[in-house]
Amino acid sequence: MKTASSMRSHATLVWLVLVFATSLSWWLVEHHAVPARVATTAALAIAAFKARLVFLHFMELRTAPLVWRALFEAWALLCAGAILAGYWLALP
Amino acid sequence: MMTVAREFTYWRFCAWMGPAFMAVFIVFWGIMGHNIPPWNPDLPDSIIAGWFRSQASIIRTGMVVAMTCAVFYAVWGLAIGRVMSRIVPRDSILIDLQVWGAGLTVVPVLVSTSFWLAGAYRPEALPDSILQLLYDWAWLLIDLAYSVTSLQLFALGVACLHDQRSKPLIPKWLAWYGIWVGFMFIAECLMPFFKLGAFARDGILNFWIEFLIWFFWCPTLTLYVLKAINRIEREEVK
Amino acid sequence: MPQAAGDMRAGVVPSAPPAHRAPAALAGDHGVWLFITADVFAFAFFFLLFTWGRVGNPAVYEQSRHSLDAGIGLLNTLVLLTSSWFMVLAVEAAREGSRPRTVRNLSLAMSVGSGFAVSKVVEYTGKIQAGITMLTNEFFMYYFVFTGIHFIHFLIGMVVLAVCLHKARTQALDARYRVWIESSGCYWHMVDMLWIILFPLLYLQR
Repeated sequence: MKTASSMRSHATLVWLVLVFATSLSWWLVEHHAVPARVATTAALAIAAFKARLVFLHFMELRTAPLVWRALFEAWALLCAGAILAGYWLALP
Repeated sequence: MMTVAREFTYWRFCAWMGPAFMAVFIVFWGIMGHNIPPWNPDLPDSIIAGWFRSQASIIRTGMVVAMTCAVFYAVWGLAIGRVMSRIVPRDSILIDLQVWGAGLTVVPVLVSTSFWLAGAYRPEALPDSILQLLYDWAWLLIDLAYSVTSLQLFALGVACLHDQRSKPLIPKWLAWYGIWVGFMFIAECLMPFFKLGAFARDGILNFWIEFLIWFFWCPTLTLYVLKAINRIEREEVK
Repeated sequence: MPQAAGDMRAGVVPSAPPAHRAPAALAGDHGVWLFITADVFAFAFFFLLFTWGRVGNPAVYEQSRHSLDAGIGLLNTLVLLTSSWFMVLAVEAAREGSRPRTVRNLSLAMSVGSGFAVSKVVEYTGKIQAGITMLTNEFFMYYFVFTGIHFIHFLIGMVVLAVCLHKARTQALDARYRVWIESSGCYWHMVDMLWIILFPLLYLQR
């Protein structure tokens, strides 16, 4: 059984990962460190990963009935997939 | 205070006016009135004018029936209000708000259909731009009167969320769905600003999605209202 | 014992801190989850609309994107993430029955969150003063409408948080309150989550 403080540090850890992932995706795109298509693809994939962290951990879908979790996993996949597909389709 | 058994028959009749309104709306306003979807606002006025002139009889017929039956929506709202009176106290303002919301929804329907009717009355005598104006005006009214319907949706939703029964008369998910629809209607505020695209009056959001989410709500709610009336009758008529 | 309206979690013992949810239960009220689900799928549709538009006109979209400040977008994201973090801590505090910590974390969630509003106002004002509005082109139509609708969600969320805070100050942190704060938390995380997608969608597609 989780103690109160371990729950708090779990939330904090998730937050730190989110902050890092956000900064990384911004840096990749804005600082031209890698080719544009790599950076953008990474940023969108990272966004889906971040969304998952939020709905699994912050919204607690990890411990919810499977059908709700499946719905949101599908949502994240749909969004990231569609946006990425469109991005790649639009590339010259 | 016990409601006489005959009253419940009236309640049921009024509840059926919801689907009746929808059916009339779809056939007479939607199909005959060329409103599913409406004419794209970017079209030249000659197109709209040509339609009024060539289809005048059909438009007149459609609008006459639509106008006659617009009041059904108010009647439906009153049936819903009766069910609400068994969820919240009988003098709850929420019931009044829902009833007024449903009643006021009749106004944009009645008035806008009269504009289309006016366009079809003597289109040959009117310039193209005036015919376009009548069509535009009708749509601006119908879309931007959304808040009277949102009022109905919010009042009903809030009331149904107060249901303390182990099996609520109206399911909570439907109450929440109605509240969500009421909020979604706010996107209609964008409609006057765009003649093309998703937010125009024929756009995928401001026409198709907005109308579809409401079209799901109306018959679904009626189903639960009728079931609720049965339950209330069993509880009260012994 | 009659269940509080909307309390869908069986097995919760109100007086034993810290309160844990029964296994395989949604946090908060099911009805709120319906609302949240409908909203996220509505936004998924918005993302699709934007993507469709971008495929049709990538040059205009990319050129318009240059007018956006990704730094502000980044700031917005970090602000909402941090606000969400405090919200999680507030819910945990409520489950442990600690009123001071619940109040503190809710207050922090709100004050940090309000930074989003400031940032948005600055951003919108800048655009409008530069002559860019939702009528400028298709990219900016979607930019203003989708971030605008998101902003309305944010504002509603701030009201919800304020109500939570008021209740935390004045009412018992009982099972009923826990459902309230969990539901509010989920709504607030939704606001955060939608921006997580909006940020790269609008600002980072190079």
